[in-house]
Amino acid sequence: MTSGNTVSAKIFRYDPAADKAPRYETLEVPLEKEMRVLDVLDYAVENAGVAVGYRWFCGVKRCGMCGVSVNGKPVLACWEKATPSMVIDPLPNMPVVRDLVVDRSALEQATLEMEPCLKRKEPYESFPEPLTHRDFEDAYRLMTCIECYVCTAACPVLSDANHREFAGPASLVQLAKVALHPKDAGERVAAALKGDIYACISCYECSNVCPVGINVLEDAIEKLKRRCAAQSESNPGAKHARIFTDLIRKFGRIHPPTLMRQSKGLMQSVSKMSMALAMYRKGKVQVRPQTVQGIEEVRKLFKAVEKDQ
Amino acid sequence: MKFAYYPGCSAKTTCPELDQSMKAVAKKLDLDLAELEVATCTGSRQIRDSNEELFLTLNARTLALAERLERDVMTVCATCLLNLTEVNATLKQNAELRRKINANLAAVGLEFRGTREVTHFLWVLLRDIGAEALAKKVARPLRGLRVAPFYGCHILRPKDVLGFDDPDSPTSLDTLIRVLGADPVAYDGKKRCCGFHVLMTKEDLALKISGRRLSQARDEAADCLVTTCPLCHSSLDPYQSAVEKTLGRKIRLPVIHLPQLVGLGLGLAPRELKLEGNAVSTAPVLEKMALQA
Amino acid sequence: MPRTIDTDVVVIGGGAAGAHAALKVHAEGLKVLLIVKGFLGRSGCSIFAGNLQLVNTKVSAEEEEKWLTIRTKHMGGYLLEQDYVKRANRFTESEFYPEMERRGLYIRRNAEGKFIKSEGRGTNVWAPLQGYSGTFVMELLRKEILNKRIPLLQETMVTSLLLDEGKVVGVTLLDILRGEFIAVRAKAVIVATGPSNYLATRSTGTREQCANGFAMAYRAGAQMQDIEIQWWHCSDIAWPKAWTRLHIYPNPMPATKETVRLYNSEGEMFFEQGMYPLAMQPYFLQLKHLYPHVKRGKARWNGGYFAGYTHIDPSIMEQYSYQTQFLKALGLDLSKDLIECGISWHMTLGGIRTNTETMETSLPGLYAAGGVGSHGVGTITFVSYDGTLAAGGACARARAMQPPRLPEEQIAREEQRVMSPLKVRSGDGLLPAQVKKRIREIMWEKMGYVKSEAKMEEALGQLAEVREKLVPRIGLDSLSRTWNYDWVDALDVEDMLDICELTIHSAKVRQESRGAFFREDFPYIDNKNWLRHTVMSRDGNALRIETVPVELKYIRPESEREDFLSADY
Ligand SMILES: Cc1cc2nc3c(=O)[nH]c(=O)nc-3n(C[C@H](O)[C@H](O)[C@H](O)COP(=O)(O)OP(=O)(O)OC[C@H]3O[C@@H](n4cnc5c(N)ncnc54)[C@H](O)[C@@H]3O)c2cc1C
Ligand code: SF4
Ligand code: SF4
Ligand code: FES
Repeated sequence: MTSGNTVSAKIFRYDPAADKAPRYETLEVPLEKEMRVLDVLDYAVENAGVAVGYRWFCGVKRCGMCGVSVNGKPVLACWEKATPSMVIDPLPNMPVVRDLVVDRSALEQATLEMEPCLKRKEPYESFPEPLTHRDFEDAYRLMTCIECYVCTAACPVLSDANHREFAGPASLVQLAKVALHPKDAGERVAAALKGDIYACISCYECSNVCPVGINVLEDAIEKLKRRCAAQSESNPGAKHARIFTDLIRKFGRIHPPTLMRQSKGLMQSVSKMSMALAMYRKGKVQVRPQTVQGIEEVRKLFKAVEKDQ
Repeated sequence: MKFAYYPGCSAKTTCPELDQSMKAVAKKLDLDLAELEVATCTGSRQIRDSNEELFLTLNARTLALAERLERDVMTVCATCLLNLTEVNATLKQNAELRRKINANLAAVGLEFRGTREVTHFLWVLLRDIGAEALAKKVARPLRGLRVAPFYGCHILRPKDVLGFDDPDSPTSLDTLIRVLGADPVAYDGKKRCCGFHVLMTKEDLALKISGRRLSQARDEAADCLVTTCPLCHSSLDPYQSAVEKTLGRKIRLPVIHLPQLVGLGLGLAPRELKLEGNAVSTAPVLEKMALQA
Repeated sequence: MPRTIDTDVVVIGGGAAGAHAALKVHAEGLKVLLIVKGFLGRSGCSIFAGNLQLVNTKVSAEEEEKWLTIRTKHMGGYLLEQDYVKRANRFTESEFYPEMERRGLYIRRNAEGKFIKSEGRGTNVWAPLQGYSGTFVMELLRKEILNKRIPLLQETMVTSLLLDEGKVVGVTLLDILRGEFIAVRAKAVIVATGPSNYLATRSTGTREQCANGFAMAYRAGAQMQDIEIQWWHCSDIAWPKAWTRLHIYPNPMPATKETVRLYNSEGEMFFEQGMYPLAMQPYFLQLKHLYPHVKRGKARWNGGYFAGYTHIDPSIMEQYSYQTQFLKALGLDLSKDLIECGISWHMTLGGIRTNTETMETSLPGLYAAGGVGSHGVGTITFVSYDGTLAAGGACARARAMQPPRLPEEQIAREEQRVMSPLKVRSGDGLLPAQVKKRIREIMWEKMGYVKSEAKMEEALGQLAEVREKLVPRIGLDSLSRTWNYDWVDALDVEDMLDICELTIHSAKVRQESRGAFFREDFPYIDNKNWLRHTVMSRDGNALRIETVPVELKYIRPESEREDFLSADY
């Protein structure tokens, strides 16, 4: 059912074993009803005889293997609707194997190292386990993660900062998924910290691109961070969250100099002295913390919450 | 137009110029702002990352305070916008949770009823005032000024919570820049992260990220960059000298708060907008506009 | 000689059958090598298993009989071995569910902890959404295999079975990522390459499923059984093309008795499961009802008819179906819009002929598990049973054996065959994928749901033309050995041609209609003469076809001959 229009696809081509440099191949493809990016790639090979390499298996968001980047956004080729003008690149944050095919092995290894298998405290008894949907609600939100690594491809901690200590959002989703299983007793905080979870800058790029609609940051990463904050004594990220909370308890709002001193330690704060001075001159530093009006109310609320916990 | 004004901690501490310019611009636009002086911090990412119930309770209190004033909340901070919007939506939807949080609020004689909305100054400009009406108020079009929009994560994402702009190709701030007579600079970094939320704990990482944005905007020959959030502003402006060290490159890009830019267009004097309060000198912008600091 | 790898047992295929087999061999303490052309648990059909059947044969004899009937009659057209069906049903309840739940499978429950089920005759459950269960099952199996560090080769295609004195002693493979040809020595080989092959334009088989398993077994001399009995799915989405495998399930929806309804192009409803309360999986019946509408021009096999949930509370789809997000992405409002559907080439009921106690094939040393075997009931729980059984058989054999000798001459010949597509195409050359597409078109047009002698002859003629005219033009764009999928496609072309032809030959022999198999020129179920299996094997370069009777131990059809279109199975 061709509507007469065409799709212009500029496709990344590169065989690192044979080519000196990547190039683009541009192709006009007849636009079909509700056409997906995968249909465009299929057309390239099967109709136009353009030997572009791309991975796919299922065509319906089950296998998680068809990730590509379209006009700069990481997507699944089978899910993303084709648009009249597309630049199709391999997913970022992974080495290119050939054309649109990337090597995911390092990321998959990171996931595996988190040991995302259920670890039970007590041995499994019998089917069915006496559990309700409520027990599973948190884990349930993550159950349709197909491990496509599209979120990881979108993560600026990897792409912009090349901070490879960070496991990336997809691996953290897998970790959270077992961690939130009602019977899990694995050491998940240690794994999250090993994956440098506090490198996550809370930008929601992962949530924004997830093709199955998982709010990766809130439903996986944040839940893990909460456990880390509660359980890790020494991790700077966990400590920072606690210090921050204590400042709010005291003053109702933050006091950046105190936060910095307590969080970074005196020595590191001193190294920021020249910046602090410049800021002071601009009227950006209040030497003493200001307390919000009605701080007694705030403290009462802290008490009420803590009583619950 | 009446709002309960929630400035957030930064506008009260590290960015007094934001609070002041906001108030000056509000007057000019006939916005009636009742400041929520007793409100607390929304918890940035830290409280929500460590104590969900506390996060909900503190923000429910702020929302309840606004409800008492019978006003919607307007903020100038993207992170606060998201925190308040999410808590508002969560508590409106989830009756059980609302009961639990209201039990906490009872200790201070407040109740969250879910009768009010949360908005951001940018949205007020475009949705409540409207581009056309605003254009009429522009007394000093910022002709020839190349402004790099910097949206900030928490005003765009998650889309289903915020929903004002398309996070993949946001337009609101670009529109606003045009309404003010300036030229928006196109660059990918405009919808990306500033790195703020790890600035205290992983400074190198944060600087690499903000460095990407700043150098991109610089490469596109921007005269300045405009932010909708004081947190973005922090990592792009006061930390710009640190970024320069990391990048090994001079950037010197003035970073202006949204109300400051609007104020310039409305014809307010630079002093009223406290443009001298920004860390990177805003003098080049004023020079280009042939204005005295 | 190419590089060789030694192991005790090779498992070919990373679906539920292969995964269960690999886990079991590993648990038995033997060395296993799992080889997957795609990725473990992420390719093949297992990821599509949308519903899980909650079998409960322990409850009563009636319950056991009910499930036996559903599987044997409604899904198997009485061609299945009934003892096997009973054993597999018991495995489902006593091993599959407990083991999967132990690994973390979440079967969707309500707030009180009761399973969300379909009401009606056969009970379905979901983990956690309809349409997603198999993906979840496979994820857990994959993680366990990875976690146990079981030797695994992915994106690696097995190209042939190695034989020594008529026994299977290993396999050859092509590492797609690096382009390396490797020989594997093994005491036993389990082939588990899946039930569905991507042999027709619309097909549920995934990209890599091009009948390699059938082809390698047939070439090695194994017997094939009933491969003409080809299931078709009746209501998969019509477009976009990429979404062909988006299945609209005909059976009762979660938490209700209601099922989807099918409508012709004029909006007349022509099918819902309620018309056949006894058939749990009414694919064959749906097709029989669609057929007259296609004949009258009120539907096409690839569109022009519709599925609708308009009579079902929309919150059911919202809450319990993975498919809903796809339908919404098309802008459909399920409370009033209908979904255009097409049929797709689905599973082969038959396959490599096996003994259902051990899954051994007619070739010593070769075991077949899951859909590639000869009793494709088409459920993920059954193929899991097969994998477990095959592993038991293979381990027993491997324990009793010394490492076999590798047939060097055969390996050299195979290496030459595998390397032969590595040539650059000339000016009028074709990519192998273009030829694959042509083969699929022929099968779609001539070997669709409605078959006849005349159309099958035409199909054979057109396939012969492909061999003569198109295959010689095949060439590649690049001789690079790095992830050169055109090379894989070229190898697939040979297998597809062979198996398409075999399927047609086999279909020509069965002069009746039954279950999924419809011959317009023999539109009746012939229980008198055709409660028989077709059995094919290679005899030199010739094809030998025999038929053998089906054993009907517990239930049998009532009449000797029935009109196919009006029969309820
Ligand atoms: C659309 C659809 C819907 C379905 N719905 C249901 C349902 O609701 N409920 C249910 O129980 N069942 C359902 N099924 C059936 C069920 O999924 C299958 O019967 C079962 O999962 C098959 O498992 P398998 O292990 O035999 O094969 P598959 O899962 O198909 O695995 C085959 C494996 O072999 C590999 N392979 C292929 N060729 C080679 C080669 N040359 N070398 C190496 N590896 C190779 C593939 O990569 C793959 O890993 C459905 C199937 C489909 C297609
Ligand atoms: S929210 Fe965290 S994990 Fe997600 S993309 Fe941003 S930095 Fe990466
Ligand atoms: S969270 Fe979403 S984007 Fe990330 S791997 Fe899972 S399915 Fe893919
Ligand atoms: S092809 Fe499987 S997820 Fe896209």
